[in-house]
Amino acid sequence: MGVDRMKRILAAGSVALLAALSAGHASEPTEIRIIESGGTSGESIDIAYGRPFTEATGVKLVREQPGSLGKLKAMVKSGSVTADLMELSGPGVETARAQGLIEDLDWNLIDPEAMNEEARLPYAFGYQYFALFLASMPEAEPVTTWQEFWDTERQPGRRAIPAYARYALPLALLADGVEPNELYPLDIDRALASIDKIKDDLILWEAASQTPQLLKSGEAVYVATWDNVFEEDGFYVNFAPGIWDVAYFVMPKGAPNPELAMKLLHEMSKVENQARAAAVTPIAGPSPTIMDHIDAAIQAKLPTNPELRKTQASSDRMWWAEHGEEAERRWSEYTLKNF
Amino acid sequence: MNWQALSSRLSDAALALWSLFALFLLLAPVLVVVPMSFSASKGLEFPPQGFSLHWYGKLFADPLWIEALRTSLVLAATSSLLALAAGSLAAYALVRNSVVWREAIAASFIGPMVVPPVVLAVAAYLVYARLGLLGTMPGLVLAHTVLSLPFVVMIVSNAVAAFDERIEQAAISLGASRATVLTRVVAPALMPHLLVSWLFAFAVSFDEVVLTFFIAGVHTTIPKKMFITLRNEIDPTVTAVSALLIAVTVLIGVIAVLLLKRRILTVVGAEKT
Amino acid sequence: MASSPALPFAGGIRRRLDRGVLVLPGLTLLTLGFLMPLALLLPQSVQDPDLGFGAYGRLFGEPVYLHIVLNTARLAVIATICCIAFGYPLALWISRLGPRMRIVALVALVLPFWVSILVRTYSWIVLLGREGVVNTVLMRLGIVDQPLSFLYRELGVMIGTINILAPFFVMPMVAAMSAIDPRLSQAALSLGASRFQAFWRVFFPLTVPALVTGAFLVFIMTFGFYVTPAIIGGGRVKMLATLLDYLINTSSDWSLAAALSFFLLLVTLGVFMLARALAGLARVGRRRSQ
Repeated sequence: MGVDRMKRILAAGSVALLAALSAGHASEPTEIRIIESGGTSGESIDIAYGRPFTEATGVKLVREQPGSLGKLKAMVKSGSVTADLMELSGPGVETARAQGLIEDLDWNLIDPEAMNEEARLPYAFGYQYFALFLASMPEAEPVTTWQEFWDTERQPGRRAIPAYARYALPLALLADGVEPNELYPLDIDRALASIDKIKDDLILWEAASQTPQLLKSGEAVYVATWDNVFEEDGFYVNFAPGIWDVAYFVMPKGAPNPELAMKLLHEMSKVENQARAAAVTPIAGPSPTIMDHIDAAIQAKLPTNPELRKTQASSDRMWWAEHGEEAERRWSEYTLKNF
Repeated sequence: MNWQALSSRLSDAALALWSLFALFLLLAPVLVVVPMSFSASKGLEFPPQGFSLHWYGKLFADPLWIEALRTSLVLAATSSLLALAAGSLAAYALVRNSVVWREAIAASFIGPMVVPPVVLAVAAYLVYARLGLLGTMPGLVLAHTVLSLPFVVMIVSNAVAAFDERIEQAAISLGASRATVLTRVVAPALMPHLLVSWLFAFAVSFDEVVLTFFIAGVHTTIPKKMFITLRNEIDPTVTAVSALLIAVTVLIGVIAVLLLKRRILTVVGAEKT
Repeated sequence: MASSPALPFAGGIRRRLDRGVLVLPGLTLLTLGFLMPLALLLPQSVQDPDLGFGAYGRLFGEPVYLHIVLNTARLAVIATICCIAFGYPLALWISRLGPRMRIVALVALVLPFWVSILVRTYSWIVLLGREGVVNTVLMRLGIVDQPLSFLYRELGVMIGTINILAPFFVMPMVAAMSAIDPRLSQAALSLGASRFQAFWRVFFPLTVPALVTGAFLVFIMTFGFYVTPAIIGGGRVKMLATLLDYLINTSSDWSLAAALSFFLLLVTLGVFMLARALAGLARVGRRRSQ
C-alpha cells in the first residue's frame, strides 16, 4: 500500500470519526435499539409497538436478538451500552438489579395506560404474559391437574417437563398437592421427593421446540410446555393448571436514549397495541382489560387471562433471585445422582 | 489359495464391511434430512408426509432467510480462508522453527477450543466493545477465525512435521527462495491437509452460535436464526438450506470424478495409490 | 518435538527469523480474538463482586461442579474411543480406495457438515425414536419385539455426539494416511514381513501423530458440546456447557464461570503438552527405525 493512499485513508477515517463524534452531540438520534428474544414475539413487537412508536417520534426501532443477562452484564461492564431496552425474565430482572446493571424507569415519562401491578415495577416493564401448561395427544387419558400428570398408574408412559429448576421444582410441588398460592417459599426437599416418585418416567427438555415432537412420536404421553403446542394442530391442551409468568423490559445502566425508550414503553402500555401483538402471537400484554380488546378465537389460544389466573400458579421472581442458585445447585446434584 | 492369502482377503472384507457401516452411520442424518426438506408437514417428520417444495419456496421468498444464508456463507468463507492462511503459516513456523516460547504459543493456539464458548463470548464482548468491533462483520470474522485457528494449527502442524524437511533444503540449495519453497513445494505436498483444515474451519463457522449470539448485533446467521426460534419450533426451512448445500457438494464431487485429472486428484490426496 | 537438527547451511539465524515471522499473522488474530479477552477474564475470577479466591473455593468446595466436569470428561473419553474405533478403520479403508471411489468417499464425509448440528441432532430423534426408523426396521425383522429405548439417555447422546464428531477424526486421518509412502509397506512385505507385521510395525506408527491429534480434537470438542446432549439427553446427561450457560446467563456468576474456565484451560493444555510430547516421541522413534 502506497504512503499516499494510506494518508488518504487516514484522513477520510478521521473526518468520519469527527462527524460521528459531533453527530453524537448535535443531532437527534434516528434510531433506538432494543434487544429481545426474536421469532414471532419479535415480529409482534415490530407490528404492534414499533410502528406506532415510529409514527409518533420519527425514530426507527432496531431489534437485536437475543437478550440475556450475560449480554446485559457484558454491555454495562464494557461501558459501551448500545441498547436502550433489553428483555429479561423475572428473576433475571432482580439479579440484574442486585448487580447494578439496570436503571429505574421514568414512569412519569412512560405515562402508561392501566397496567397490572406485577408488570409495573420501578425498574422493569412487564410486557408479555406467558404460561407453562400441560398438553397431550388426544388418545391419552386427558389430564386436568399436575397430580394426574404425575400419576403413572392412571396413564402409563413418559412425561416431559422443563429441565430447569425454576419450572421443574414448582411443577413437582403442585403435583404433590401443594396449593398454587402456597408454592412459595419453595420446599426444595419436598419437590425433589415428588420428582423422585416418577423419575424413571421423566424426560427433561431443554428446548421447548422438542415438545410437539415428543408427543407426536409417542416418546411422551404428557408434556409441560409453552405456547408452541396448539389445539388447532390436533393436540389436547389445558391451560387451567398452568404456571403464569411475565417477561420484562429493562433499561441497561448508561442507555443512550432513555427518553425515547420510555416513549416506546408508552406504546407497549396501550391496550389496543397489545391486542395487535396478541394477534401476531398468542401472548397477552400487561393491560387488565386486554381480554375486552381481542376476539374470541385468539382469546381461546391465550394460555393466560384473568379467568385462568384464578386456577394458575405464578412464579415468584424475588424468591428465585434470592434462592435460585441454591435451588439450581440442589437440582443439579439431584439429577446427576438420580438420572 | 494359501492360508495367508485367505486371511488377508478376509481382513480386507471385514475392513470394508466395518467401514461401510461406519460411513452409513455418518451419513444417516443426511439421508434423513434431504427427504425431510421435501416434506409437506409442519414439523420434522420421517418418513415425510407428502411431497412439497414448500420449504424451498419459503427459503427463497423470505428475505430474512436469504440474508441469513448470505451472511453465514460470507462469514464462513472469509473466516475459514483467513484461518487457513494465518493458521497454516503459524503451524509451519512453529514446527520448523525454534520460535521463542514455541510451546507456549503452540498451546495458546489451542486455547480458543478449550475455553467454553459462552465464557469466551462475554470476554470477547468486553474487548470488541473497546475496539469498536461489536455488531460488525469484521468482528464476527475475527471471532469465527479465532475459533477455527486451533483446527488448522493442529492439523497442519502434524502435516508439516511429517513432511521431510530435506526436500525443502534441497529446493533451497537449488536456489529457490523461501517463498517459492512454501508455495511450490510445501503447500502442494500438504494440499490434502490444507483442504481438510479449510473444511473444518468452514464447518466451525457455519455452525457457530454462542459467540454470534453475543457479538453479532443485528447480523443474523443461519444457526442464530434457528436457535432464536427454538423456543417454539424447529423451522424446517433449514433442511432446504442443507439439501441445497449437499446438492452443490455432490455436484462438485461428480464433476471431480468425471474429470478425474491428475491435478484434482493431487488436491484431494488421491493421487498416490 | 520434531525440531530440526542444526542445519549444515549458512545463514541459519536469518532464516530462522524469516520463518518465525510467519507466526505473526496468526498470533495477531489470536491476540485480538482470544488472548486479550482472556486477559480481561482472568481478573474476573478473583473479583466480581469481591476481591479474593472465593470462586475457586466454591469451585472445589461444592462437589456438584467437579462432578459435572468429571461426568463431561467421562463422556468425552467414551466419545473419543468410539471415534477411533469407527474412524481409524474407515480412514484406512478410504485411503486404500482407488482414485474415483476415494473422491466419492470424501464427498460423503463432507456432506454432514452442511446439515446444522441442531438438525442432525433432530434427525437422530426421528431415527432412534420409539416409532422411529431404526425401531420399525428392527421390529419388522423380528429382531426385537419391544421398541428399544435409545433416546433420553446416554446411549442416544453418544450416538449423536459420535456422529457429529467422527468426521473431525476421520478426515485428518485420511489426509495423514494418504501422505504415507505406500512403498514403505511394500518394502516391509518384500523383506518377508507378514501383512500384519507390515501394518503394525511400519504403517501404524507413522499414523500415531495424526491419531493423537485427532483423538485430542474429538476429546476437546466433546467437552464443549451442548446441543446434542441438551436435546437427546432428556436431562439425563449433564454437560459442562450447560452449567456455564447457567452461570453466565442465569445466575450472572462470572467469577465462578471464569474460575471454571481457567481450571479447564490449565488441565486441557496440560493434556495437550502431553499429547505433543507423545507425538514427538513417536516421531523420534520413527526416525530411529528408519
